[in-house]
Amino acid sequence: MSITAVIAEDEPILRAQLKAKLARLWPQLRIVADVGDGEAALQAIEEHQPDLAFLDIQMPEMTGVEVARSLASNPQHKCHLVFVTAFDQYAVQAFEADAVDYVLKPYSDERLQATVERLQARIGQGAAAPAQDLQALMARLSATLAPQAQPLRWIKASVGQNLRLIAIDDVLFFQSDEKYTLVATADCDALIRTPIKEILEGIDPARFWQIHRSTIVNVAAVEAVTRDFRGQATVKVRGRKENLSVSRPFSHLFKQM
Amino acid sequence: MFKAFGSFIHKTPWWAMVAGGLLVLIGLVMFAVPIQVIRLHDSGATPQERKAIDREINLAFGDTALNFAEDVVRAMRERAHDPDRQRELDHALSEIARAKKELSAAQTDVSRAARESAQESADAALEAALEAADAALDAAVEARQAVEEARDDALALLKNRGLDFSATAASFDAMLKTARDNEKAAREALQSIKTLRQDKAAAERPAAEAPTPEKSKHSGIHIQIPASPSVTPLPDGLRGEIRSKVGGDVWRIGVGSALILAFIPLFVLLLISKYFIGRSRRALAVAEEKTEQAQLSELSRQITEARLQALQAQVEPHFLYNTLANVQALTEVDASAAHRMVGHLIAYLRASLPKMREHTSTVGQELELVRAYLNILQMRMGERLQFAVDVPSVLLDKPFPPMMLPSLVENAIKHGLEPLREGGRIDVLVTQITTPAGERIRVQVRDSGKGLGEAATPGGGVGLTNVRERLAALYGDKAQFCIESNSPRGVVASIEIPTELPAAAPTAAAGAARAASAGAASAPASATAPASPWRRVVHLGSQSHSVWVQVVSRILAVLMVLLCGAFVLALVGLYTGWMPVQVGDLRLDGVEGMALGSVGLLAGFGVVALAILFVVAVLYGLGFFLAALLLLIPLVILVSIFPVAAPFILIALAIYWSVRRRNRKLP
Repeated sequence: MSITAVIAEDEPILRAQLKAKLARLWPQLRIVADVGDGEAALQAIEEHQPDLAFLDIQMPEMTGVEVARSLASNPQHKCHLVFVTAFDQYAVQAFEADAVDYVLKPYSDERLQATVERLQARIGQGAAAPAQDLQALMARLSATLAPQAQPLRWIKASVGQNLRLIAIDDVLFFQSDEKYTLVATADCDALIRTPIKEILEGIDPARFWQIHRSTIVNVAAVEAVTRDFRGQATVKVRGRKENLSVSRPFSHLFKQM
Repeated sequence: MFKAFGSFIHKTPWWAMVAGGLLVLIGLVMFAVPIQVIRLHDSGATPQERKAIDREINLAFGDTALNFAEDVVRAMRERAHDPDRQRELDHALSEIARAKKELSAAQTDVSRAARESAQESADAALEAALEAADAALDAAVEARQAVEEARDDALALLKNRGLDFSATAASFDAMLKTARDNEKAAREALQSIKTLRQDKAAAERPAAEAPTPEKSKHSGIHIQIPASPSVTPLPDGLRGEIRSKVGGDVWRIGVGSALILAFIPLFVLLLISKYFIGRSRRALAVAEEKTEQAQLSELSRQITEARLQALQAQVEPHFLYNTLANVQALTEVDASAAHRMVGHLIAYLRASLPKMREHTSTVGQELELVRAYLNILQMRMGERLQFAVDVPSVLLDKPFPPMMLPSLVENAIKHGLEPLREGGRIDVLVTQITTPAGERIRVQVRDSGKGLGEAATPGGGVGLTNVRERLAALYGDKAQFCIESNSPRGVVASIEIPTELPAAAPTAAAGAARAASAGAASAPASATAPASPWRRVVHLGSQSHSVWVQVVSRILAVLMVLLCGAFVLALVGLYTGWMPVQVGDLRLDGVEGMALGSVGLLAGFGVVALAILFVVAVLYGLGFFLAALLLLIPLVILVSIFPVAAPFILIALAIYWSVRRRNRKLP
């Protein structure tokens, strides 16, 4: 029984090259499917139950890591995974610690030869892919590949029919009612569904002050602060007509230093 | 305008404001002083005259008041229908009429008094004249007798000496005749005075002047009856003057006191508003200072990041290695394609690498870079990428900041097309647009990729943030950067900049220096909930207090607005005649109704406003009271159960302590 493999690589030239090289270095290997995106890769693996899968990491629809995670959650699969990836320092560090194979693009024939030999040895021993380790590895990998939790810099908001990305620094103030949060900038009013509380978690508290249960104001945009006879402060924002009231728990923000 | 007024108030020093207010007040008081009347009062030469003028002034005041009252009552009488009411009003009218009569009687009394006093003095004068005339008669008789004796003596002497005495006798006779004439005249005068005294009619004549009897040459007695005093009726001219002056003073008193009444609360309001304006201006200054600090730190942050960005290699390793892998693969299967790709890569590297050191680039250079990049990607992605670059050739040499356009294109590929199996297309459009702010270049990168809606996150947006911040650092607010959804799908990213390059960010260095000097700007405390339970309670208390204050002040505002609305409506109703004034069951309209109604409304308004204020103040206090009770009651309960609970607390403490000890011993 011949050994089967699935190749998943979104760039056609590289896909063809890998296919050609494998055919030359490992003639017994039967490539049952070569696909261009993550979803197709998962489908092909489920369908053909190959012994090997060569997965690119950056792919449309699903990344290679996601495909691997989904496979690892199903212990029936005995598919050995080989990641084929371009230079990515963190991912490489993650791979090096574990028994999963990886090939760094661009690769030489020798490098691929070594991988092929290792795979042949492992399949010869009848060793299954270490599902448990794979799960942990993939979790770590997705953590390193996922974008770091960045402070909120852009807000995706709808302006009329359109969606627009609004830079957080352009926002003059946020004001929420029951359903929506108004994102007010100098030239438009946009709406988002994120409540004030969640916005607060993502923004720089030095530049955005909460002045009311339902209002956050950009400090740099404050034009005037007025107080009425009860000491109730209202904030006027540059370029806007609104007067935002400062509720008492937040009024210390505008006290004199 | 309000702002200007506010700053005017703010800039006026306290002392000037208070002094100005006092001066205005003094001026108003001076204005309201009935100076004409006082001057009139002092203008009388004699006490009697002064008295008369006083009376006249009082009369004038009384007249004015009575006339007004009569007008009002008469108007009411005309509209009264109820006979009882009519009778009442008639009574009032008759009372007023009586008052007027009394007043005029008082006026005639003045003349009578004057006349009486004149008569008295005339009588006295007559009496004196009579005495004088008597004395004169006596003197004349004595003089005649003396002349007779002297003549007899002289004639006897002359006769004795035998002298001719005829001439002397003639002269003595002439003298005697004069003396007799004198005597006769005195007698006549006495007689005439006596008749004068008897004649009662003489008393009727004002300023009666007793006839001055002809005085004997010898006696030299001179009698003069004093002129009658001018207490009696003042000349009509003076009376008219008094009336008009009193009228003027009444008007000034009215207007002046109204102005004072209006001015005092206004002045107090002005002082209060000055206080609050001062407070708010100070708060504003604080806010501005903080804003400036925030802006400075923000600016310096942007500058630093822009520099860092410029230092970073623009070519992503991932892109480079993937491309090289493709070239490697192509060399084996399609050498000419590999050659083309290497050519594009060289173009891309050549166009991008020197950019890091350059401050500016041109539209043409940037587009070359973009083309090289897109060519490479098209070879790599094959069918999945189509692209077009459209630019008018006139714009190719226009300056454009480096590495922004490639950032947008990379973004479109990475977040738009790459995640899609079928890929899409990218259009790069460069156009020149004319806006009110001048000629501008607009660069748009449109993709038909995944779009904003489905993108997992806006990708942290580091690249976009960099573009934005560099634009801001270079052009301030003259540049625009917009990322919107494309239709039917995808994203449009556009940059708009002025055609002319700005002076190379002069604000940047200065801003950085200022930011440095501003030093560690006090990081404002973020509004987080207090941690400890006690603080939370206090926090809750203050919050509930603020809620209470809000509720109370809203109630006040609503009530006041309602009241003002009702007042205005009532006034409108009053003046349009839609709401007639009813006194008892008597309807008043016309000017009297308006006047009376306005006064009534004003009074009502004041009373209701005061009542509302009072109620709200009580409510406000009640809030404090309730809060205090809420705090006090648990406290009292705690204190009162403490003696009972104390043993249990002690036992609990002991158990806790022993458990802790045991735990510590165990390991």
